[in-house]
Amino acid sequence: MDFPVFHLDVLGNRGLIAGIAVLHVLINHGLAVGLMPLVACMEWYGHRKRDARWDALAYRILFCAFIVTTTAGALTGVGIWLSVSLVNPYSIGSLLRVFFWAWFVEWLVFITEVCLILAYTLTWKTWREGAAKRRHIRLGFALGLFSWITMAIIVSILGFMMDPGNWLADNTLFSGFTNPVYLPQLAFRTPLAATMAGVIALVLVPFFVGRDDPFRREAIRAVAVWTLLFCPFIVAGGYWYYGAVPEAMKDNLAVSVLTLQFSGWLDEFLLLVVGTAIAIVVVVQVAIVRPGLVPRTALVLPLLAILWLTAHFERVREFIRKPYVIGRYMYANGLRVDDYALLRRDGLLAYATYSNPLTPAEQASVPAALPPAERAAALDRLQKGKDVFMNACSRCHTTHGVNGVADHLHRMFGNRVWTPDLTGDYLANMHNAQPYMPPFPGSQAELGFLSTYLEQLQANREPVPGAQQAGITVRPESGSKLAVGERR
Amino acid sequence: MRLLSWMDAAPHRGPVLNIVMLVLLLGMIGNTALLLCVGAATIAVSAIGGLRRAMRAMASPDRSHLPLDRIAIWLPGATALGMCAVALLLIVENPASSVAHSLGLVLFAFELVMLVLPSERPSTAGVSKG
Repeated sequence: MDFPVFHLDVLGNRGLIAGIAVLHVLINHGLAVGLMPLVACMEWYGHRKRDARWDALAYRILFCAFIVTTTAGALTGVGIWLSVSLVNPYSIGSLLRVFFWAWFVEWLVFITEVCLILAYTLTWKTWREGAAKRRHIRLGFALGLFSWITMAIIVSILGFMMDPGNWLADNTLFSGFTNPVYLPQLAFRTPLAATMAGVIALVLVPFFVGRDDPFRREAIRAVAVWTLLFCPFIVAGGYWYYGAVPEAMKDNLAVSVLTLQFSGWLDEFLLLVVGTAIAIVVVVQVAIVRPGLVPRTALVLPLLAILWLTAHFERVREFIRKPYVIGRYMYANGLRVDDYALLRRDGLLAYATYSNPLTPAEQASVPAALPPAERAAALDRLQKGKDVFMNACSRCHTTHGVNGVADHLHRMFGNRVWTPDLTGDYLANMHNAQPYMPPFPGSQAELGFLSTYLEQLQANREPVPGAQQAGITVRPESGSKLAVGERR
Repeated sequence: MRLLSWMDAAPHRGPVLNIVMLVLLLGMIGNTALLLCVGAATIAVSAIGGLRRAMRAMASPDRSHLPLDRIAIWLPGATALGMCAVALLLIVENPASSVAHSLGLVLFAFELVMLVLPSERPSTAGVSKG
């Protein structure tokens, strides 16, 4: 606990990461990994058929992808790591130590990808004939390959976070990289990216080819064939992927697919997912058999559907691995499984360098009429409770915002007073009742401090600022002990 | 008379209407075993028709040798067959009054139509040689 705690008390830290990460995945899969090979195929197809219309269409679609991937795509790519580093620096630190060389290679591949997309776009108009055109088409396929390699490396890290496999025993990069979830997830994401690219291109074609141009039907039909071609592989990859997910995580499926409140609706939701997937296939089938019958608005339906399905898949993947952020190695609160015995013995705060000062609203929860010594002791207990909350809970929970602890306590205890006795018993055993929750990491005394802090949330609805707003103080006790990571 | 002339205007309208009526009838009878038998037989017959059309397209003298064009001949039929199987699964696995069962019936009818409907031939008008 060597870092000040960044905290967003309305949106929630998870909301920040999810917003950036989902946007990046949609751009990366749809406009880079999937679309670059599709554009190269369109260019190659037009070249083989000696039909310049394909060339013009491919260039326009590429230009859209170029603008989005090099702006929003690149920014969100960096944004993921920045936001994760802010919210959970311990998990990103562990991942960096394990995947250092893989990440280094990924960085080189990414730089190459950026150079290739620049070269591919900027030479389109000049490398038009003969050998130059063939070279340009090869450039397009190379760009597609490098886009895929960047995803292939990152997918390994995502798989590792779900199930590190043999890495827990031998701690080698090879074991971490070839984790049990890696290849199944890659086999799912690759055709998903290709299909998503096809769906995006289907929406773009009518913008670039006029309604009365017969080429519009030809282009829609060809892109629809590309889209449909990869659909069976998504199903096969998804089946393999689901089989590779550890059984303990599948117990979280209902809550991860929906939320705790709606977890009883899993069957209905899965039917909605199946219906949405069928709707995508149906529109694409009609686009192949009768491209002239499909209006532009109907082509937007598969796009919205696949964007929603992919975004929701990412949500499920993120949640299902709870209570861990790195399977069986680190809990979602950033604390290592192996450190728990130590933290329970010495207390969490013994290793916390920084303290998040109490807000005026929090201070006001302690009666001003108390004798000064008693009030100072009460404020000290509250301060310790807040520090426990910030270190053990705030990575996933807010106080009253998204996934707020107050809402959960209200659901469980209603309007009864949230006394430390009432909430303390629950906090001590919550991981047994709700397997996606990590066990409480601190000492028995700290459980009491946290319960005291939670009690005042029943009346105090003021948002709790993170270190980025309220600043921090250095805990006076922090100098007496080494940080957890330094004791090994 | 207007209905007859509407059906005569395009050769595929008759089979499409037949399929819709067949699925409606099977749905109203509500016997899953009967639906499975008749449905499977209908798929087989439609698949044979689709196979003949695809073989003819492959043997056509003006066919393209490019992979996309070959895939485009086989993919719609193969997909429709697969989706018919999904539809039958939805029908068989869910009770008659459920949303999933109804979705299966609609999908089954749609995919049968996809099986019997010949693809539009792409027009080559307006090709500008690059």
